[in-house]
Amino acid sequence: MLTDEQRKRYARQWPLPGWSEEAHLKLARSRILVVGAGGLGSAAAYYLAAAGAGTIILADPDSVELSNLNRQILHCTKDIDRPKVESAKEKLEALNPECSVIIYREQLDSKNAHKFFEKADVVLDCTDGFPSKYLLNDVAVATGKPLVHAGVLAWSGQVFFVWPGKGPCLRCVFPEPPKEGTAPSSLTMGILGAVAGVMGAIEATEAIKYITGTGSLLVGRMLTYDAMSMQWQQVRIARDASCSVCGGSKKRR
Amino acid sequence: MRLGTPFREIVAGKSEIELDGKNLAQLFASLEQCYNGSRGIIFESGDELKKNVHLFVNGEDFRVLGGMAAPLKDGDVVSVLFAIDGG
Repeated sequence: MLTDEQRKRYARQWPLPGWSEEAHLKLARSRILVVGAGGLGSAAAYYLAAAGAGTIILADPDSVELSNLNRQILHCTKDIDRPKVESAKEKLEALNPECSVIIYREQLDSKNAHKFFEKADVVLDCTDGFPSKYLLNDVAVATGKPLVHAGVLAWSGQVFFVWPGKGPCLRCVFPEPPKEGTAPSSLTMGILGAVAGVMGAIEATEAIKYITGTGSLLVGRMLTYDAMSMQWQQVRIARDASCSVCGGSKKRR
Repeated sequence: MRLGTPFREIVAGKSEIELDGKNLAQLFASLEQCYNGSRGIIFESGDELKKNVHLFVNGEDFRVLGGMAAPLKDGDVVSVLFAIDGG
């Protein structure tokens, strides 16, 4: 049963096509793991909290630095040197006190990632770095847990939904990351905050759609964004039967 | 040909270029003629793509269209996408 305050808070969501009290309650009961409280994670977590996500589990080992603040909008100047997860929790709870924000000042790795995935209904890859992105993909396939993958660089972003067993995973399209030191990074090519914001918001949107069973997900489709030319592109990714992680019925543990 | 961000430096910052080729293999041969060294960013050796690169023709995965033998016609859009890891 919704309270009057809840009806008012989410008043602009009730009229949404495909939305219902049932959809809202699904979201309110959901547990969403957001890995990374940086550029992608700031936007993703903020919009999840705003929409009424029940529990956001936020994991990030880092502290806020001045160079984060062009894009990591959950953090402010006063938060410099503070753990990102603490800074983020404060802002998310201020936006929506009904959202339970559980924080872990931890780096996900092969030893602990499964434990995190078990806590969540869906996982958002808001990490920075190929090792993390491929780890999350591999654990998603191993656990069967849906994952929204995204990456940003300079003026560009890419996003798609990994639904193990139903569509391709990250390694179906990019089997391995580039050799260390050979790929450009935000350090060398930069990243515009608004680009990270757009992609993080799309991650939140996909998570909300998955939880509520609304709309069509980016399963087998990658959305690419080129903000410089303001062009969007959608490409269809084929599942690779010989994928080292999800090929056939293979699961890696 | 539409080019992912990590590749644009070698093509003078362009996001799109026009090339000739009856199939993907010929197209990339044209690319190398125009932009020396471009193959090394996209291919490991021969026609084997680097593992962090993927190709699409008019939005379709090139593997389902015949791989590097995928036929091309005038006006087709070939997208070269790279894995990107910023967050």
